[in-house]
Amino acid sequence: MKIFKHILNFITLVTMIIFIFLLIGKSVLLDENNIKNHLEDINYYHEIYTNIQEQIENNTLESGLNTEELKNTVDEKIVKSEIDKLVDSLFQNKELNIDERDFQKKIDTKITEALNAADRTPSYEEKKDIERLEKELVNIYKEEISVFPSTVSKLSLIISKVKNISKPVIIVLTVLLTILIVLTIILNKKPLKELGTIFTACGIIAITLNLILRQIYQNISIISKVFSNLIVSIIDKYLSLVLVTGCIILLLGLSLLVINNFKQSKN
Amino acid sequence: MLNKNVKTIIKATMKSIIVAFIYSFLFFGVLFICFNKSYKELKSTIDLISINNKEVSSKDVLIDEESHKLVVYPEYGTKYATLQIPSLNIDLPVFFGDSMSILKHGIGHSSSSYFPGEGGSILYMGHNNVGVLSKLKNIDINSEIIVQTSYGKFTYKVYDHQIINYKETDKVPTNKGEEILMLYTCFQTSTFGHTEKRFVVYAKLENSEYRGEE
Repeated sequence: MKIFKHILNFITLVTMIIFIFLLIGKSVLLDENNIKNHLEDINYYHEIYTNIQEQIENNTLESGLNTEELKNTVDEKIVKSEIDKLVDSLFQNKELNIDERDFQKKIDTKITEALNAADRTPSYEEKKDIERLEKELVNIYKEEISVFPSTVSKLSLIISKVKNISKPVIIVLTVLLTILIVLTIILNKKPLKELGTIFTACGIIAITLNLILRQIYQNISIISKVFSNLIVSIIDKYLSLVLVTGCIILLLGLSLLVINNFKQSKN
Repeated sequence: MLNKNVKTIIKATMKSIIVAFIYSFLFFGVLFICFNKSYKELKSTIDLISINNKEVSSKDVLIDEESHKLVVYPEYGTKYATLQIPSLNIDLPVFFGDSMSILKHGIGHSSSSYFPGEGGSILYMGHNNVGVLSKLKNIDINSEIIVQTSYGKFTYKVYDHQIINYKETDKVPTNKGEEILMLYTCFQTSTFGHTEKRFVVYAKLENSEYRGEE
């Protein structure tokens, strides 16, 4: 009977851990509005806008054109709305279409102004060099915004599948956890003690997993510094919520144990 | 009586906490058995895309003079050397890395090539603007190029220069066996836009003086 009690407690504990991690994961990682708010919080839109400007400057140093004027062809509000389009396409499984027409038009205008100011009619080779420059700048604009354009559709499919699976899984886990907790209460003479032990163990595990996982991802460097910071900050946010939840459950568990033992001592 | 009650409560609570710890160890034991391999694979994948700056320093770049291999590498993006071409009055900082933001500040060392003193080919890149490598196209054969690092001074002699297409990456190979310094910049033929042409200078190592020898 005692072994059965411990087995039941362990199963309840494992179910609770999985439930916590999945629920927090769903709210942090699979919620579109949460992600957009997070992008705003970490200044991601402005960082990408600054990156595009810097890349334009770096790539036009040798072009013979005024780099400052070319930097001003980027509109931060448009960059923000294009990034939001990327998030929409990831979470709503839509095709991604970065609209570079406004940017392209402004680049064309600046280059034409520069040619007119120099009173030049470009030669055939010069026209080719100018086309190459324009193409590079438009690519920079699109790549900085979309980060990984070739994998957006694959990722959005994965996200869509995970979202579809997560809802029923969380419902099943909620029902299962409720049944297990009810069983724990019904089958035990001291239900508060058993629940307190389970919650305490759950808190210990959540806090320990949080500490272990924090060691492995902090130095991630992928694609760009801005994108790496985004990934690290999202994982940070997820693990912080796990830590807070773990601490609350630990305190709850300890409280239940103290209450139970206090009641027992009075009896 | 109160003290006895408190002691009983504490004792009973500690017993339950010990049971909780046993459950936790059991949980991590199951996790270890089931997912240890996956965790190691995940960790090594994440390590591949992580930067660990523990072994690098821009001040303490060191070379093993026997094996001709750097022992401590400079941090990416930091200055580790100076490039001098006396005949053209060029004296520029050399940074480890060749990103566009690095090239704004001076010469970029292509991270896929060797370092001075390592006995392989070295690729330095720079813009052809005034103040960087705009004068490079005027370099003569047999001109001297000096690279000063914290671990030594390396003198090269120019033996060739070519105008190539940016797609001709075979003209700037990474080879071990002979220490060749290649200086790489744009070759602008038109006033506006981005040229396809590149100007490459090839120089062989003539002399090396390691700092320990001074």
